[in-house]
Amino acid sequence: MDFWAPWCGPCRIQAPILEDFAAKVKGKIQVRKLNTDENGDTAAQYGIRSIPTLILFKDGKEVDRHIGVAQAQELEKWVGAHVKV
Amino acid sequence: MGRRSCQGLTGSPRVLKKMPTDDLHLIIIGGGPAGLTAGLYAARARLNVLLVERGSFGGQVLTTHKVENYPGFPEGIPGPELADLFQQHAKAFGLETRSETVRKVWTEDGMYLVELGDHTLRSSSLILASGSRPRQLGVRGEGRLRGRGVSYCATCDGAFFRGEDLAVVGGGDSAVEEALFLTRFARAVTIIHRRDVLRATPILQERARQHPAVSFLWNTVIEEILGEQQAVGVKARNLKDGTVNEVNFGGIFITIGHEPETDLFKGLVELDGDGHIVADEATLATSAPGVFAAGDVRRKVLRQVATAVGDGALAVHSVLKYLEDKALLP
Ligand SMILES: Cc1cc2nc3c(=O)[nH]c(=O)nc-3n(C[C@H](O)[C@H](O)[C@H](O)COP(=O)(O)OP(=O)(O)OC[C@H]3O[C@@H](n4cnc5c(N)ncnc54)[C@H](O)[C@@H]3O)c2cc1C
Repeated sequence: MDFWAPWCGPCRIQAPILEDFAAKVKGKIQVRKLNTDENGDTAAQYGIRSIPTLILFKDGKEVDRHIGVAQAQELEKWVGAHVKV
Repeated sequence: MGRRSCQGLTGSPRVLKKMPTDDLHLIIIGGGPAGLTAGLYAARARLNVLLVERGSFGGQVLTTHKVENYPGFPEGIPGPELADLFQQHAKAFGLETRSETVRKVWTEDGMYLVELGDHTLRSSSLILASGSRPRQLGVRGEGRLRGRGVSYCATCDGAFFRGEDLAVVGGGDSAVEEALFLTRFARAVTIIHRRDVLRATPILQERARQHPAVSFLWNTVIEEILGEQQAVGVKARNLKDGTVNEVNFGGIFITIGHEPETDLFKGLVELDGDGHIVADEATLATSAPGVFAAGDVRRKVLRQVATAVGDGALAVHSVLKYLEDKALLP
């Protein structure tokens, strides 16, 4: 889950990287986005303090979070450490 | 023009100096105001140029709520908008960019090699415009809780701290500006400073003192940032009486200045004691031939957007001269 907002510059860098990643892992991993401006309560519930924040969920449970832009390679490595991609 | 002694022996200088097609005239490291302006000038001069930026284009400008002293915008302009305009303007001249982190820079056979994620580029010249990064306190908990309640940018993260008690660490203009900005969201903001006077300009000090939501913890340093998954407070030491207290804060904003982003360039160019690149004021030439420095990354008196863009323009002017002297331009 990508926590982002329209005013956030780094989030604009993250978006296309995640889109490519989503296409690559289709069927195995779902990539979702959450606009923190429109879903302030949800963002607060997850304790988001900075964006972009990526949270990796497995079987509905948070297994890890990545704060700040994750470049393509970094993203694959990060997710790969928890899930087979 | 310098003497070209050996080249005549094996062929004409022109043939010898012909560049392989994948070599670049210029690589610009950093896409802040300095790098983007250099990119604009270089692309407009039709150089074979590439700009590499590891994050978002605009650099520190992106973290600025409003830029009030950059000419052309009498009402001021939000930092992210200005950053966008800089980027658009450079792209309008066809500047090519890469979103990657430069990992290593070195020189070989008079060329510069720039290592990105999984490949290496070669260029005849470089402009180093990697700017600066926020200085860290260097205390326990700080790294672990970054983005989890520890922040270096009120404009970026402030909105996630609605109704909370916040700390701002520092005593300069930016610390006070950030504190005032955070009062939009926070219940209360405490400025923690290690001395008993602020360095900030009088106008800002006045605004902070008069603001009902802003208070001060003087003569105080932070020894540790507390919290497991999220920052919950700090361990603060009073320098006057030596007492240590735990104080609760939902967020800790650290604004104690910036340090140059020059780790990569140690050994390549001369740095001063603070780590800034030493460059000639008239040409921005560094100690390495064909390598120029622009913007906050270099030793200079005033670090602002207006001076960074000036550096970007001048650096390209010097690059053109360098390439011409080496007969590398058509
Ligand atoms: C909160 C704040 C408020 C400010 N307000 C004002 C103001 O009102 N007016 C004003 O004139 N100035 C202001 N400034 C200062 C101004 O933003 C800077 O002087 C200016 O941004 C410097 O530009 P630069 O291009 O030299 O460096 P930066 O803006 O620091 O840009 C450097 C870029 O290089 C990139 N980079 C670094 N290392 C690498 C690498 N290894 N690989 C790839 N890319 C890399 C970085 O990601 C960054 O984008 C403010 C600064 C801050 C922090």
